[in-house]
Amino acid sequence: MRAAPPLTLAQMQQAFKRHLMQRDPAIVSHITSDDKLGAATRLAIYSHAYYARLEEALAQDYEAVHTLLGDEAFSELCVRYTNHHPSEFPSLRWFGQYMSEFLGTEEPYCRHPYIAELAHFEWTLVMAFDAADAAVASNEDLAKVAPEHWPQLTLTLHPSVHTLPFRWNILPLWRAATEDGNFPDIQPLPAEQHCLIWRHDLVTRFRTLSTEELTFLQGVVAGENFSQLCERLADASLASDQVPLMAASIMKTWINQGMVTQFGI
Amino acid sequence: MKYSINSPHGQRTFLGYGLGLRKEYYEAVLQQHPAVDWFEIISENYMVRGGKPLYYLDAVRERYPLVMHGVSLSIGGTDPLNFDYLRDLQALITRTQPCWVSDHLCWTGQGGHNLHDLMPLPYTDEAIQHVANRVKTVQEFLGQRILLENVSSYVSYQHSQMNEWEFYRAVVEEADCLMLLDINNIYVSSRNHDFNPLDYLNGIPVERVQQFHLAGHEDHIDYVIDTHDHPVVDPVWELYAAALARFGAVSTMIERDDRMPPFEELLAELQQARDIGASVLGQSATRNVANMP
Repeated sequence: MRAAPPLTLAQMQQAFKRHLMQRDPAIVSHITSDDKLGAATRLAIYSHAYYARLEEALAQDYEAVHTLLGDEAFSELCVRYTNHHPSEFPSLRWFGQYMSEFLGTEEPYCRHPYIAELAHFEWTLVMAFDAADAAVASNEDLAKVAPEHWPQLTLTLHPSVHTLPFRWNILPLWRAATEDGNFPDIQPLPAEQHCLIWRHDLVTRFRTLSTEELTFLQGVVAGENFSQLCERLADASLASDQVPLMAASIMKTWINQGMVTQFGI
Repeated sequence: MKYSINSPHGQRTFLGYGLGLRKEYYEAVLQQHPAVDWFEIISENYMVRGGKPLYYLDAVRERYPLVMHGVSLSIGGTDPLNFDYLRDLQALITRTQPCWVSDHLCWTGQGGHNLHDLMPLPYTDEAIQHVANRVKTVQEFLGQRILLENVSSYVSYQHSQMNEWEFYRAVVEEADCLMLLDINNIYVSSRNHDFNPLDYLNGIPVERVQQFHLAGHEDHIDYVIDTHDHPVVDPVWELYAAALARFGAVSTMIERDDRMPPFEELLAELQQARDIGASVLGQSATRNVANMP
């Protein structure tokens, strides 16, 4: 084959990338072939590595989705995802961030909405895993707040605290896929639930939120003080004499579970 | 500009024998306090806000010297240098106070896309100037000399004007940076491109070499892939001995990134490196970490 006219460095890199991502053959004539290996075979080593490395990253972040789909379907998903959302970050840490959205909008995955929901859950675990560190507050810190200041009391949540709505039984599904293999029948829940995901003592944890806790949490996120939080709980139809007790109990649970970093008055 | 790590004309810092810090071994490192002289971290794995990665990083750093090794600088790339990345790198340098910082002589992305692979450069005058200018900018930004590592490659470009080691040497001399010589990568590329690896070693300027990498690979007979998932093979150990004979005492580490063996196996493999070092260099090669700033 006659040598192609040389490309600039930028043109060459563009052509190489287009070969990896779109199988554009323009780069082939710029690569040396020898007795052992042709240019196309040599380039295929890079194409293979490109998809394999990205699939490996996705398999780490989406272990349950991988198990649920099986190897073949997961590989196909990864190729489609990679072509749709090429990495734009120096770290593979962020590569999988659009997976839930992708699964929720692309055929055939979107016909099974629990897959996107499961992916959203797994991505939130990733977000909690390496969220910023912050020292957690203790019950002693709370005890220092004088009773007259309680109405103005505000809470700061640990940076790893996330909530996530879900409509399918994804929590037993996730456990089955990553731990015990006892797959439940996949079914919609009678009503939407919310999952709390956070990190305590370096371990990522999750649990479902009660209606009262969710209400309280929404108020905390909105920056409300204790008095406003109690009003919010009362609006959520709790008997008013139970509200302060309920609010204090939620706060203590959160403190004990390492979710609160600071009190303000 | 004067940089804070040793000049190629001064005495080379010899850290001894190290390993790559990988999450599979965090607990073993902290609990057993193994006789590893230093650890190398993959910089990008610690460009996060908190949690386990930074907890273990800080804990290991309290006990061992560290060096930082990046995979995404894309020093040979033609997109503009990513200063957000460099700021993250600088923040990690401030946190860990590494003995030095390295990345690869390659490109890793184009058009805003990161390929997460170490893509080979054509060996041209254009590429030498391009890379050297970018290295100078990075060194100015970080306030220190960096190390560039030779990568394994599976293709060569028809318009290359020189061989790999001539290119490598020209880049580091033009940029005034240092070399992280990957002995396995020299072996892998020598098999893939049919050259004599000793010619490669002999083409490398002794005073620029600051660190060695050793690793295993996957041998497909017609070609070899740099996978870091096997023990170091005998021909690479032999090449390592030849490198020690040429370059003297150079801080050496083993990279293992897949099919992680029990930690004891890696320690035994590192002992093999020490034994070869002792046999080639005699007992004269002692660590001089105290010279570090």
